[in-house]
This record gives sequence, structure tokens and C-alpha cells, in this order.
Amino acid sequence: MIGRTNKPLKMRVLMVDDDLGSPASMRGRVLNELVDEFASRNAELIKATSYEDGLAAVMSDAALHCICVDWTLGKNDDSSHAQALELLRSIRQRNENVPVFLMADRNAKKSITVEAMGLADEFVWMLEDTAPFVVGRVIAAINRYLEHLLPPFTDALLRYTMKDEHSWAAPGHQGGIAFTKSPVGRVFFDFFGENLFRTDSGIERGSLGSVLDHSGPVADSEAYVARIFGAHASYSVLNGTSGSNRAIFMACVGENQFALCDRNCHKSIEQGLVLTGGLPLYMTPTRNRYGIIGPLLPAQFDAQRIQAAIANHPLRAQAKGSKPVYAVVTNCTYDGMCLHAERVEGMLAQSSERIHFDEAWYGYARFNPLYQGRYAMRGDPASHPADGPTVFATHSTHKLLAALSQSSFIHIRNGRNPVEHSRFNESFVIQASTSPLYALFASNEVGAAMMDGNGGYSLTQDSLREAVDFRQALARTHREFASRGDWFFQPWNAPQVCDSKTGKMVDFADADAEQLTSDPACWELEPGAEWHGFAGLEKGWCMLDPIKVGIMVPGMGADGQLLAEGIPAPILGAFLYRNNIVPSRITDFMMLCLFSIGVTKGKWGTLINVLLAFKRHYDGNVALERVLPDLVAQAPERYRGMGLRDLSSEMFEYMRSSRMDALQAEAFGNLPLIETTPRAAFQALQTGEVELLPLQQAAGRVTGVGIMPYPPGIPIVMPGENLGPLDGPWIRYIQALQDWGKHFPGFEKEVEGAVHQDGGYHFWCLKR
Amino acid sequence: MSHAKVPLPASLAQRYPVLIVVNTLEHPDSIVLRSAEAVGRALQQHGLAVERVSSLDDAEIAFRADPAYCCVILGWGLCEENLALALHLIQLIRQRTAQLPIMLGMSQAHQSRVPLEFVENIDGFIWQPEDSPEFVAGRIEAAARRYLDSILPPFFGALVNFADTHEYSWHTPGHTGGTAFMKTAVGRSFLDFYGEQMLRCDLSVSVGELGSLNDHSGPIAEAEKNAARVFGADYTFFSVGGSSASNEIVLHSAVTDGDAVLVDRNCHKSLNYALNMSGAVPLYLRPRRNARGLIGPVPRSELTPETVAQKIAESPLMTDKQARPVLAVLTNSTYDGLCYNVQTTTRELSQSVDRIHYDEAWYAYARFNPLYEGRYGMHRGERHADDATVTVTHSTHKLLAALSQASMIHIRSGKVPVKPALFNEAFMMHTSTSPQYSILASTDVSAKMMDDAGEYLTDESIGEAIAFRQAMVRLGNEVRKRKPQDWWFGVWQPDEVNGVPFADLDPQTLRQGDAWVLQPSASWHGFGDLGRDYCMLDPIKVTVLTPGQTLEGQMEASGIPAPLVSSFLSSRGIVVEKTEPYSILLLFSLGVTKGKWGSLVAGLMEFKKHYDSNASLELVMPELVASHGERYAGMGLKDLADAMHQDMLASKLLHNMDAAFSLLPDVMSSPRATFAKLVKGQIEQIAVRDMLDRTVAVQVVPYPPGIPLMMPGEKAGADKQAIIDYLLAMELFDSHFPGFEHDNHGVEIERDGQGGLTYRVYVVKQ
Repeated sequence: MIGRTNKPLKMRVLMVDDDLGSPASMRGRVLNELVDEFASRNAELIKATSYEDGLAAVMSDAALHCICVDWTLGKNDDSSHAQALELLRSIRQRNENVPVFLMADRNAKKSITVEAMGLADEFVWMLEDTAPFVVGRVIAAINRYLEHLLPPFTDALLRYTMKDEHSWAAPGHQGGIAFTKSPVGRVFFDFFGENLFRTDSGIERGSLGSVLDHSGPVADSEAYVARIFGAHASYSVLNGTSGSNRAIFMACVGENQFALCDRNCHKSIEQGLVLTGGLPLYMTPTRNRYGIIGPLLPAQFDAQRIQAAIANHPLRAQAKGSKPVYAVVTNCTYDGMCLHAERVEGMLAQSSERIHFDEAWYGYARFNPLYQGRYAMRGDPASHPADGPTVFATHSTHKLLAALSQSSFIHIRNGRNPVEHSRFNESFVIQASTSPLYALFASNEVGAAMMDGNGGYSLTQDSLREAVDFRQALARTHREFASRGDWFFQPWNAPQVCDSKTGKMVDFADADAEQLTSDPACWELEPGAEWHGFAGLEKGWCMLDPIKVGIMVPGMGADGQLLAEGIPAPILGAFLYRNNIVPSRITDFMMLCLFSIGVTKGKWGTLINVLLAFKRHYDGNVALERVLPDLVAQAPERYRGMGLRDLSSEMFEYMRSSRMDALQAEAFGNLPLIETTPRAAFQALQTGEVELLPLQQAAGRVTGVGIMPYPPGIPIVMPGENLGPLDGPWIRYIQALQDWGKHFPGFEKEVEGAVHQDGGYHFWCLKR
Repeated sequence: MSHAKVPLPASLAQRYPVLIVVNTLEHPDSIVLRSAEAVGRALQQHGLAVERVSSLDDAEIAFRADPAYCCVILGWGLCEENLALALHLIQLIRQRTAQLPIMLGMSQAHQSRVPLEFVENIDGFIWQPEDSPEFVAGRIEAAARRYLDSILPPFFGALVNFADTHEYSWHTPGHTGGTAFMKTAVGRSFLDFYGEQMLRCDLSVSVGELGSLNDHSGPIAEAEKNAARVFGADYTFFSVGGSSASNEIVLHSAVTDGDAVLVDRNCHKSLNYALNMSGAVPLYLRPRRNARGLIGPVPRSELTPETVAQKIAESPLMTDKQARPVLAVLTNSTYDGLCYNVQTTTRELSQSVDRIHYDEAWYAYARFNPLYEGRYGMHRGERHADDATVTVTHSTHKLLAALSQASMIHIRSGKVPVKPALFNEAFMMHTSTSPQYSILASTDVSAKMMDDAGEYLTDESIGEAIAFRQAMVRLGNEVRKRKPQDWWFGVWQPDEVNGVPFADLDPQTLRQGDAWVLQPSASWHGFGDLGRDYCMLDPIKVTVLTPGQTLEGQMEASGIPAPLVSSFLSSRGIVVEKTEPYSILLLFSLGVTKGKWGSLVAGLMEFKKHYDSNASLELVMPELVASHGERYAGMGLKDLADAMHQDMLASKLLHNMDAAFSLLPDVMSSPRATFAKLVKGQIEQIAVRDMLDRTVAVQVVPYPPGIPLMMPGEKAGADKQAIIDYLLAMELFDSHFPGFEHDNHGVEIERDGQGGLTYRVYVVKQ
């Protein structure tokens, strides 16, 4: 017999009452009866004897199914009642639906305010009702609450799981049993727990509906999600936003039709071009001195510019139609650039009837007023004009909301040229598996349910708060070191903001945290401001997302020239990694950390500690054998005997002499010549009409693959484009990346699309 | 092992006790027993749990139920009493776990009596009472540790150990180890339900130690390499989008606009999507069907160069009549369990194409049991230099042990080799850049399970399937012995093998492939002469037949449509894989437990009892009556069966189905060109009854059997009216029997207020 490996869900009740601590009093005795009664009904009771305790429990423990608050706790005077009210408000801010019982006796009745009564669900007259009666009421309230706690599909899935069926169908593990038949399978089963396998059932189970036909609980779930995200229709995708983007692309673009694409796009957009045979027209983003890819400027969306680009398109002879049928914009970018989506939409609508915002990194925007106007599904879906564009948004639920990897949403608002469900579904199913993993679907839905009601605001506000606290802490630390003429890391944001109360500029470190978490003006990229370094902006066009925290290393001057001394960010990254801290991305001068919903105080506190430790080790030039032993073990002849500062200086000097930053600017600032469509290039690649060439021989050749240095993760050459001459911007930049890797083993730059061979990058180029 | 060993973290190792098998009954004071106890105590001090059983029989039961031990100590006294049983136990352990250390506990004096067969199958002796308990425990612990550290496969091992490092993650996924879920009530119940572990190891490519699925590096690459070795491939790719994605990848890597592709008409939807995306011109390979409507294999005559040339000549979409097809696709085995002699099909097809793809979604286990030798893509037989490149896709989750969406692509290069780097470009086209690591880990685990104990595990499910098949025949015999006119469910299988009736066969005979080959002379399969040794029925895919239709396909006067039986079983918590009009498919997968089929037989018996007594539907299927009271109130189970059967007789549903699938509709445009019309909105939805001569814009696929009736770009003219009549017969049935609607992909049901319904389908605008 295999023992239970999953936990049954138990009812959990928080009781906030100081008399829990005085069993001898009359109220204490009554309370003890309640405690015993809860125990006999198999409910778990968490006790708090002060409002502070109670508040701490409410903030940290979301698995409370009922909260009983003693109104007469403490001194039972105005100030204690104010505290009780504060507690009630905090509960409701986090959870509108959890049952709250107010415990009082008759003589306290007069002091209970209307607001308190509105916040609670029931009253308990402590000395007058029997314990079984009170507990019975609590349990009935919990049952009602639990009935509606879970969103539609997850609810159906959990109910179905309870049924203990005998399956003669796929999947073959049959609720996990197959795994227990071998030792390695047993580890797997134990590691993940039985419930994962119990809920992994095949599509024969009609009561769960169909992920492919969007029926039953699946349909209910998608309607529920659409309501939360403000869409006309939503689709739950289990092959990541890669799959979502490809599905939309295929539903909109036909062979040789123009597709307007953000050059700062995800790989899946390139794949969409290959799948459809669409003709790409690019919108090119700006770039600053740190190598950060910035926003698309308004001119890029200009209808006349787009018409001119079509007229001059190298492949216009084969084009079908003279207008783009689809436009896709990455918003916000990986580095946190949020465009004013409303303005973007208005401009693009002049050129395309269908607009897709790839919001893979931005699923939370609707839930916080800070982002107002800067995301696709704004306001009430009913207000979307019928003659407006049809708008798509894609969200990687797993990226910055809470869901398992590979879960994603497509949201749609219909305008002109609307989406018909059954036609759209034909491209949806191409990206879907006929054996969906239901845990993914459920997690996607739970990720949405968490943002429903007050949850969305309080969760996003929590992350904003943590991000702002961290940024200010880092800025203060930086200022302190700077005042001693010493160096430290600093957050990438405006160094000063305008205080909304006084109208005066204050240091970011001293700004009111409340304002920083609520006032978009603090985060807007002011045209001409030095800190961001992007030219050509309009007022209000772009905002930095506070939760995408860039940590700047010293080294780059305000004028775009390297300073005398600096610390390349990759070294910092290696150090953090060694300390079990994994950042999201590292570019030359910046390290990116995402303050997602899962962030905790301890987590960013530790980050600052480790940054300080880096500084100590750097200043002391501590031996690499001690600080980065893995690196030394990997290339001992290169690094043995060096100190952290030695390596850092050498790298920095190399960056200076090789002019990497300037080369990068050129490579990204220019678009190569399009010679054939991405589809034609891909097909040549697959049929072997290509040859693998070392970089030096690839000059003037057309590539079969997209070439994307990572970071920053944006393509410099797309399939079907010409790599240009040997001394052109693209080959020179790739050459510099290759040389860098040779100089600093262990710090090689990843170049997607390149084949590493004989110590150099090789590329698949179309045969002549 | 082909990869570096991965330690098993202590938290998981705790679940692996030492099994001590020593006779505690006969010599309560014996010195051997006392020293065994002392060793047990010493082991506990080393932190190893100990489980003790006192007979070889108990040891076998314990081991079969759960093989998670770290070491087995066999007392020689017990072995000596029954050498054969002891040897059997050792072999069982070896089959199932390969490397689990087995030690014989004995005193040195008896060593000379241990036969060679024992010595060569065990890992060592421990000398009780000559050595100190401490020393013995130390040796056991060392052996156990070595073994435990060999259990984990490359990727899952890396994942388990990484989840143990408790990093602070600043990257995606945003729940960062599950903490985000803890912040709201609904998220918290999700976390509690699935457990923290699941979320802690939900990681992304930002974690360098785990490698990358996009460029196949690190532990992911090692895991793929390991799977390639286990499954006999040159290269293996793990896919997280199910075999749907795997099939699309394979086609995309080989086929470009206008290329001809030979496609099994009995293929999964994903292949048809791939035809669209790649721009292929499909040339269909037509499978046989038998009189009962079961889809058979594509006969060899469809695969010859002459037939291929003819298909090209006849295709209205092939402009270049000299062109060679670039790829051939066969579904192996079919849903119903028909498997090809792959050496034959590969040799035959290699004359026409450079690439052959076997869709083995339902068949990943074949390599691990001699029963299937020569009948799967990555076979152990001879490879020929002029063979085509062979690819195979496995739905790891379907019949091995893995999570849904887990799938593998295996590649064997032939005369035109595959370049992995180029193949990867097609791979990425259908995967996610945020792959779900638990799916990858389950694939990795699955390969290791089959490597360690594939034969044992497949043997077990084959044995259960054979036992069930024989039991069903015996029950039928008994029922009829009692009352000759009585009925029982049939099973689709040979009536006899070499003259011996099926029920009387030695189960060992049924473990040989020969017993299951579709012999040209046998009538039971109904596919006629396919050639000797061309096709075999897989015993683990069991088709149970309901009364109503003869073997020759004649409809009988009364009958029990299978959907009613499935629905009854489902209300009893028994879920079947597939339901045809008069048959039910059951899968005996690895997860089958001993005797699980007993409750299935009981369920069928219960159905028979209620059917025979025409029990009221209110009593036996209350949920059905509750949701469709006006239709079913007052009816009995037999009444409903009769009504359904008569309805199908009247509408000639089966006759039309047979005719519909025997016809190929006329091709008007390629799948890709038709999809383009759909994207551009040049299509309209019409009622099926009006679809004569109209080109459909989407696939029309009745489930079951799940084989496309019409592909996008095809139309049915007056000479192919049966296709439309078949759909209309189902439409009629659906309107008569609410709760039993057919599932037809590509067909939408429109209901009027009065319970009537209309099938509607998208067609290209005229």
C-alpha cells in the first residue's frame, strides 16, 4: 500500500481575542469551549491575542478560511476600537469574501460602528450562544466561502479528482501509479506529490470540458478570465506566449501580406513570419548609452512613414495588398519601457485594423492605476468602439503573475475586422496539444482569480512597494558611499522627482514612498533627461515600470564615454550566481531584477547584502580562487592568481579598447537589407539549400536563421536578410562578441542562431 | 551509465529502506537472527530505515508492491530451503531495478554451498556473525548510497538538487518558487493542493545549471542523449507541446511549399495542421477498414513505387508530375493497436522517399518487449545504408509514465542525414521559450524507468491484458453453457492460435508476437490478406465488442450500442479510452494495477444484469435522467438500448459510415491555400445538409475514430453523397438521444428551442 502523499485541505480559523490567554475568566472559559468545539470538527484554530498579532497573521497567511475578531479586545475603548476597525479594513483589502465574525457581548453593542458592521459578516454574542451553535455558523460560512473560492475550471478539476475513478484511458501513468512501479519513478512521484498526477487526466473526461473546443468548465473559465482582464474574449494557452503569439499571427496574416513588427520582438514573432509567409515591415526602437533597448518613438507609428516604407520595400513586387494587415508592439519591454498604449493604438489604427500588444512581461498592468493608459485592455470592454481596431494582448501568466511555466493568455477586443471565434480557433488549435496538462490550465486560471476584485490592486501595490523600498534603499546606500567619494551600485531611475505636495525637486532616495508607488509622473521618461539617455521622446510617451529594477554598475559616463574605472556587469552577475541569486538579465552596465508578486522583503534585503559583499571583495581585490572558484576551475590558466578587481579592470579596459558599446549601437541602429521572406529563408534552411560559413566568409550573404545576441535579446539580422560587408555594422559587432568570448572564457556572449565550431561563430547562409 | 551520477537528496533517500529477509520464526535465539537484529540497529544509527520480512513470499509481495528499497539482504537460511524461489526473487529484483544491491547474509561456514547462479547475480556477502554489526552496516550503507546515487536521470536529478539549493530567484516564473501563490486565498489553496515542490522546481532558462531546451545544453542535453540511447535513436528531442507539436516539428523540418508528402489518411490532426503550415501537397495513403468499421493498416500495395507514381499522376495539385515525394507518414500502431512490420514498410517506402515518419504516439513502449520486435521505428534489427531517414514521435504521457504534453522525437539518420542544428530551427517553431520543467523531468524519468525495467513493466501490462482477454472469453463460454441463447460481450482477437481455442491457450503462447499476427487466412480481423507477417494486433489495446453487429458487419435485429455501455461505466467511475458504435477500446498501460480489470468485468456484469431486467433508468443512470428528464423518464435500460439500435438501423448510420470512409473526397485546393481563405474570411458557415459540392474550409473529423472524413480544401459531390449522409445520420441520432451527442471536430451544433439541432460546417465561399 502506498501511503498518502497529498495533504487534505483543512478548515483554518483565525481567532483574535486576548481572553484566549486567560482561561480562568468567564470569557476565557467560553472561548475554551469554542476551541474544543473547533478541534472536534477537525478545524484548525490559529490564535492571536492582540490586534497586532491578528494583523500579522492576516497579512502573512492567505489560507485563513474564517476570521473571528473580538470587538472588546484590549481596553475596549475608542482607541482599541479604532485598532479593531483597522484590522477589519486590512482583512477586506486583501480579501472581500472571507467570512469575518465579530465577537462581542450585548453591552458592547453601542460602540460598534456602522463601518465595522459592514465589514463583518456576522456577530457572535459570546456569552449567550452555545459553542456548537457558533462553530456550526462558522463552518457553514466557511463552506459557502469555499464553494466560491475556486474559479470554474479548478473547481471542476478538484471535484473530479475526488471521484477516485478507474481509468482505462490515457495518460498511462493512471493517477501516478505507473511511477510507483520503479525506483526512479517513485522519486518523481514522491517529489511532486500525488495531486499533480491525480489531476493529470485525459480529454475523455467530459465533465471538465475541452481546452480545444472551449466547452464546459473550460468555457466558463475563459469567460471568467475575460471579465477580469477586460477582454471581449480570452483564450487560455498551454504552450507559452510563444504559442499565443504564433496563433494570433497565423489568424491575421496571409502569404505576402505586410505585417508591421516591432524589431524588439520575441522569437515567436519571427516564427509567425515563417509560418505565414508574411512580409515584415519593421519599427525600430531607440537605444541608450548603456545598451538598453528603449521605446519605439512616435515617428515609427506614423502612417505616412509606414506608407513610405511599404512603397520602398525591397519585396514589394510580390506583396499582396498595400497596407499592413497586422501590427505587433512589445509593451512593456523586458527592461520596463511602457508605451502610452492609447496613443500608440490611435496612431497604428490609421495603418492596420488589427493591433497586437505583446504584453508577455506585463500581465498585471490593468490592476494598478499607476499604469493607466499604458496597456491594451483599458477600462470597460463595452466602451471599445466598434469602428476601432481589433486589439490583441498576450500575457505570460507565469512570468509576472502567478502561474506555472508555459501558461499564457490571449485577450481580444473586437473592433473593425473582428475575430470570429470558430475561425480564430482554427489557428489556436494548431498551437495546442490534444493532451493538455490540466495543472497548467488550472494555474493559469488561479493566476487570474488572484487578480480579481481587491486582490489585483493589493498584490500589485505590494510589489510596487517592495520595488520602491529597494530602489530607495539602494539609492541611499549609493549616496552614502558617494558622500565619502566611494563607489556603489545605483538604481536606474530618475535621480530626482518632483514632490507632489511641495512642488519641489527632491532626491529619489528622500521622496515620499507613497507618491512613488502611485504617481506615474515619478517614472515618466522626461524628454531630454540625462539619466535615461533616450533622444527624441515626447512628454508622457514612455514610462519606466518601477517593478523592473535595473541595477547600474559604475563605468559609463553621462556623455556616453566610458569612465576611467568601471565594473562590467557580467562579473557582478557571476558573483551573485555563486551566491545563489539568479538575476533576470545582465547587460554590459546593468543587471535586471524583477519584483514580481512573489517577492519578499528578505529577498531584496539579501540582495543588498550581497551587493555590499561584492564591493568588499572588489575593493580588497580578493583572489578569484576564493570568490569565483567555479570560474577558475573552468579556465585555471587564464584566471589563476587574479583578483576580482584585476579581472574587472581588464574586462573594462577591453570594453573600452574594442569599442563594444559603439559597435553595438551601430548594429542595432541600422536595419540590414531584406532579400527574401523569413519563410523562404527558413524553407531553404530546412531543405539544405544552405551552407555553414564562418563569420569571415559570411559577408554579403543572406542568413537562413535569425541572429540574436543575448543580451539584449533582440535580432540584429533576421532570416532572409543580408549580413552586409565585412566592415559593416553587423559582422563587426558579431566579431567583437566572438573576440570577447575568446578573451574571457566563462563570460561568452550567447548569440542565438550561431553555431559554435572551431572556436568561432558559424552561420547558416543561403546558397548562392 | 552515460552521464555523471547525480546524488539523491537525503530528504528523498529517506523513503528507501533496507529490506532484510530473514526467518524470524524458527530460530528465535539463533545467532544469525540476533546478529541480523544488531545489524538492523546499526543501520538505523546510520540513518537508514529497515523493513523486515520473514519469508521469501512476503519479500516478493513487498517488492512487487513498491520497489523503493536501497538494499536487499537475503538470509541464506531461507534461500537454502527453497533455492528455486530464492532465485526467482533475485531475478525479479534484477528485472525491475537492475542495480539494487542484493546481499546474502550468512556465516562463512556455509559459503561453499552457494551455487554459482546465486553468486553471479548478487552484489556481495555479509558475514554474520563473523563481522561486527558496525562494519556490516557500513558496507550496506556504502552499497545503498552508490545505488541511490544512480537512480536519478540527468535532468530530473539536476532539478531535484537545484530545488534543494534554495536560491533567491529574481527571474521568471513570477511566482518565484510558489511564494506569490501564498498571497491570496485562492492561490494558497492551489499551492497547498499541488505542494511546494511542484512550484519550487518550476524554473526557467535563467537557471544556467539546468541547461536550455532551446539550444539543448547542460542537463537537458544529457537527458536527451540518455533517452536517445534508451530508445535506440541517433538523436532525441524532448517536446513539451505533446506529440501534436512533435509531429508538426518533424514535418516542418522536411517539407516546404509545394512538396509532395505521403500521408496516412488515418493520422492525427496535428499532421494535417503541419501540412497547412509547411505548404505541402498531401497524397493520402488509404488504410483498410473492416466490416465492423475498425480502421486497419495501410496495405503494402499502397506503399509501392508504382502506387506512389500513380498518386502523383492523379493529384490535381501536383503540377510537376516528375517530382518525388519528400516524406511519408504512417501511424504506428493505430489507435486500435495495429502495428506494422516496420522493416518491411521502411524498405518499401525508402524506394520513394528520403524520410519516413512513424507516428508512434500510442506505442512508445514497443522497444522494451520482444513481443514487438521488428514492429516499431527504432527497431533493433538491421539498418540499411540506403534506408530513408526515420523519425518517430512518442507521446510519453500516453502509454509510458509521464505528464500530459510530454513527448519525444527520435531520429535515425538514413541516406540523407539530419543535421541537428537545422532540425532545431523547426523544433523551436513549435515549442515555448518557457518550457514547463516538470514535463521535461517526467520525460527524463520515463526514459530511465524503461532503461531500468522496461521489459518487466511491459511484461506486467501484457500479462494483465492477456488475463483479461482470456477471462472475458471464459465468462462468455460459461454464460452460454448455462443458457445457450444468452449473451456476453466479445473481444476483438483471434478465436484460436494453432488450433487451440483462445481461452485454453497457455498465456506464454500469447506472449509471442506470432499469436497476434493478422494471418491472411483468419477471418476474425476482417482485413483480408495483408501479406504474411505484415501486421500484428497489440494485445494491450483491447477492443471489447457489444452485441448488435456480426463479425461480417451485418446489423442484427437487436443490439446494444456501445455509447450506452460507456456512459453506464462512466457513471460507475470507470473511464474507457474510446467508444465506437459497437465497441469499446481499453488500454492496459504501465499504470494498470493487478486485478484492476476485475472491477471492469464487474461493471460489465452489472450492466448485463440491469439490461436483462430492463431496470429503470432512474435507478441505474439517474444523472442521465436528471439532465434529460423529458426524454428518458420512465424508460428502462433495455428500452433505451433498443431505441438507439433501431435508430441506427433506420438511419443506416453504420452503412453510411463505412461508405463514407471508403471514399476519398475530391481535392480542390491544398490545406495551406484553404487556410489562407479562412484567415481572409473568404468562407461561410452552412448546414451540413447543404454541403453537396461545397469545399470545406476546416478538417471534419468524427471522434471516434478520429480520422479525417474531409480535409480542408476537399469537397463531396453527388457520387460521394455517403459522406454527407453519414454526418446527417449522426445529426439525427444526436437530436434523438440527448446526452449521447457525437463529437465531430470541425462541425458546430446549432440548437433550436425545441431540442432540434443542426450540424453546421465552414465552407469556402463560392
